[in-house]
Amino acid sequence: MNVNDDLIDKIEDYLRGRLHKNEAVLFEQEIEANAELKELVGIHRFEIEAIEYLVEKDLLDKIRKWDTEPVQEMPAPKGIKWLKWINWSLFVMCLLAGIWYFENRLKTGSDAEKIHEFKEPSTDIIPEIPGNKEETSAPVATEKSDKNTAPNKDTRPSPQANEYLALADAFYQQPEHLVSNLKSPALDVPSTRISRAAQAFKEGQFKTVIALLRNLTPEDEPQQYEMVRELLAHAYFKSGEYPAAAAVFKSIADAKLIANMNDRAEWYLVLSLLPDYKKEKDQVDNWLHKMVDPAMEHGYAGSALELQQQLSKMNNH
Amino acid sequence: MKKIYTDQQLMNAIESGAHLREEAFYYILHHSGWKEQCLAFVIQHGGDEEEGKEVFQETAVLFDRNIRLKRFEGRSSLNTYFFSIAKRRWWKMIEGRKKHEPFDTEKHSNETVESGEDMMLSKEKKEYFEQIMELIGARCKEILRLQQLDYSLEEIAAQVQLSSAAMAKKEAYRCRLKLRNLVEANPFLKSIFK
Repeated sequence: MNVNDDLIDKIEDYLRGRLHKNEAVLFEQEIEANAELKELVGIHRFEIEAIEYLVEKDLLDKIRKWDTEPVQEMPAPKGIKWLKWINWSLFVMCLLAGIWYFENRLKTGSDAEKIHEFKEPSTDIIPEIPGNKEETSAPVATEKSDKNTAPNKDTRPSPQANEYLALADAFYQQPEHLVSNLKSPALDVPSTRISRAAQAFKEGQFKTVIALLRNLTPEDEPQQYEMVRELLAHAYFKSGEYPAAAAVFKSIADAKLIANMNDRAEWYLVLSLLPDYKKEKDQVDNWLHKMVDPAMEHGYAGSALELQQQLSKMNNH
Repeated sequence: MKKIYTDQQLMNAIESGAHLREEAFYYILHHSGWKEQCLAFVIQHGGDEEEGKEVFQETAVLFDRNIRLKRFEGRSSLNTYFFSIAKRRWWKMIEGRKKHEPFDTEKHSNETVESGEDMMLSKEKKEYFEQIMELIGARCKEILRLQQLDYSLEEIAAQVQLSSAAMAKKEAYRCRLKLRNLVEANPFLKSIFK
């Protein structure tokens, strides 16, 4: 391989994200096909990381030093004076507008009082799980009893009509040990709700799992409540009840108990929102954006990036 | 008057790399209230003040990197972004701390224990960086740091007391080559790229 200045410059540009997207993709293919080039890129990446480490260490040392020193006054950043003027101008304009509005309203009388009611947009991101209070006592759920209960509203969109559902299915991989992680003594007692739910999950009876676990409270299962909730969320997902799955995954993510579990819940939340991508686009995009951010060190960053690229391709078509 | 930065001013200052970046971080540390926010969060979630400080400092470094490398796309305020990084740092720290506690079978029987490989590798890398940077010398270290922060050649020359921008350019090239030679000469480092 001819290592010349042009190649070195190209490697630098690639590593610093200065190559055009298409050019970067082509270069990546070249790197994959050429072991010598791959090694060279690796060495350059290490160099850049080493220099970046210098920058970061220097900043860290400075912050630590400043933190021990008495606080000093700082010069105002450039632009603050202008900002002050802009604020004052806005204030004066608002004042004038207020006076004008008040005078105008007096003139127009009662007609002006027809003010449209402003309805605030709902802040509920995810619809609530449709609750069924009758199931609180969690009867022994069987295939038969499931059929006898009121039919569940099938929220699963038609696969033909929804390519996003296919994408969610393609990316979905049941976490290993989802059931076997539930290792409490409860599992050894066949009559407990959790052991029955775990067994039902293994047998693919997801609606039974839902019936058994949907009303479980932390008091019922204080030691492994979040893990049981995770099982419930997967049961919802597998039976096509995506909004309900999303709601449970979100509650697990919001609980922020263990980073590992949190990352997992966030990833499956995204997959649960995906079938209704047209409606949940902002949420899905925001979650993926957060997950691929290197600073977040997200456990599913790789999958998230892949999904982001797939979505981008689909949206471009 | 209380001195404040807008988000855009903070970003501009950090991206500029030079002394404005340091002023911006001085502001973030002492005048933005973000540090207090981190401390409160950490203390509220079982940590102490020292740990809160550590979280803030590490977050500041990650935040700096992401702003400079333009990874932040402005989908939230800088404060929200900073705080979300801080929260994750704290969870990771708690996880790391749990790994060092004597293993309590009952307590941990239901947890999925994360592999510590990433952390180890990162620590290992840091040690290599330290070793290499020691070998490269103080002046080269400073030149490479300033160059990474997009200081102009004139500014670099002034900072490290070289006679001209041309000299700074020459010296920066020499330092980079020195770094490359050190990296290439290390068989372990070569092996991790294969």
